[in-house]
Amino acid sequence: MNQSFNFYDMWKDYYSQTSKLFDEKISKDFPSEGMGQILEMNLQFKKMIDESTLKYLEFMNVPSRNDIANISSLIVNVDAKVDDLEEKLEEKLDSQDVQESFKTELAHLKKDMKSLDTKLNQILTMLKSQEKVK
Amino acid sequence: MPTDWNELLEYTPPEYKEMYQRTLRANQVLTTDADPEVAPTPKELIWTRNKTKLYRYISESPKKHKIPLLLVYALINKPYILDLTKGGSLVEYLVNRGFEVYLLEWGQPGYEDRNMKLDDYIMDYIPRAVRKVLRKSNVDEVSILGYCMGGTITAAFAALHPELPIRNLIFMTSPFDFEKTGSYGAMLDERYFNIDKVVDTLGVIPPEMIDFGNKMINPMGTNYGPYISLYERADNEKFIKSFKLLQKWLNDGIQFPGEAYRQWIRDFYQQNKLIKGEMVIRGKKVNLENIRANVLNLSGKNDLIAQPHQVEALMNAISSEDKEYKCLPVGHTSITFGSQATKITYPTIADWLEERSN
Repeated sequence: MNQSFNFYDMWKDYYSQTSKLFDEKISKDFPSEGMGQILEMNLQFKKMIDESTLKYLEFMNVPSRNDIANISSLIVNVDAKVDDLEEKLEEKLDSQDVQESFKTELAHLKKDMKSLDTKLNQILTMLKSQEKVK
Repeated sequence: MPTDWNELLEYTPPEYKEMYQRTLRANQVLTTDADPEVAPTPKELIWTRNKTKLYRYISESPKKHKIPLLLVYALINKPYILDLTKGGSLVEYLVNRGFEVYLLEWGQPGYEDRNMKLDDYIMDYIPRAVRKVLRKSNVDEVSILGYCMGGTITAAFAALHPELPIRNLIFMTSPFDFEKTGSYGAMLDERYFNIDKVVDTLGVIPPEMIDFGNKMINPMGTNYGPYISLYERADNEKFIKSFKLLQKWLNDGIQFPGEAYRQWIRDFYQQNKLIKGEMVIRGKKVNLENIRANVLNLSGKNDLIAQPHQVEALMNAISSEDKEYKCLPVGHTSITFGSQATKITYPTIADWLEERSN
């Protein structure tokens, strides 16, 4: 018996060659038309099933996927509105922060001006008193 | 006479014994082994809107770079491919290199999201996420990395929002030119693929359909190739770990919102509007020339989904002065996971970003 014979290796060789050929063939001449026809057929079938299911559910007073999705859409819309509001609030808080820091800066400026004014008054008083002495 | 199966194996030649053991292990992997854990990097939830979530990755190592990085994922499959496993995660690598990383995850769209368009993602979700990142990190600029389709929509977003402070843009196997897409082009040929009928009938596109389309590019290789490799390498636990992780991700698809799919197929694949400057998003023309951020554009030499010429096409369309295109010796998935990704992709991204993030 030949020890080097391996059925798997033989199959693997055959598989590698045929699969490579198959993949090359597909990439060169893609069966677009055939696939399009299969897709069309499947879509037709799906549409038929969907329509009959919808009629049945309506007849049985059972909510359909559309009804549930419509409710979900309402929730999604509310969620979006809340998110928009949150962003507006964040922007407002940001501008408020800017305003707050502006206010603080203005208060500091006022205080500085006031102390400058006081110092100027003191200088003027001193100058005047010196003039009187002369 | 041997009565036990294992006893019988003792009498068989070693190569058949090995073959039997590999078959046994391969069967275990496919039938009884538990699904592997994914997305190991810890993260916190920053913001949600509808099913979309914005995460910030938590790191124990100190932040070394001022500008945070936002990862924008595609609308196909789940983003944990970017954080698949310890030692094989782009996120983990970037976090360890001192980047502050955020991830924008689209979640799992339901039937109620069938009317969502790419316009919603580009004009509402991504800008909001960017503003959230800027606020959370308390910075004035941000970097964005888009993977696959995530990069394509990020480019459209960046072109439409020049007011947002985007310092760096990284595109990873993102197609921009859809003129020569090979089998995809043939599969989505307007004459045979009726996109309106598909969307109007299905509402949301099932992941199996997207997966089937991807596998048809190389049907034998993608459908059977992994299983043959598994059988041949079932005695290698490291290979088995990678196989299980990738298969989990590949088979974990999400539904594609119908209206967004209609745009993706018609405007991109069938009419190639983006690169021609004809794409209109919420009434505004997408002009890629508006992109002025620093750009690193990565393609994969073996990528059949976003072929290198489709990726490279962006380079002549943008106005960025600092722009770089690199074609790495990887494929569409192996750019993010595997030994080449760890050795080549991760350092390429981190090195480029490091120079531009302070």
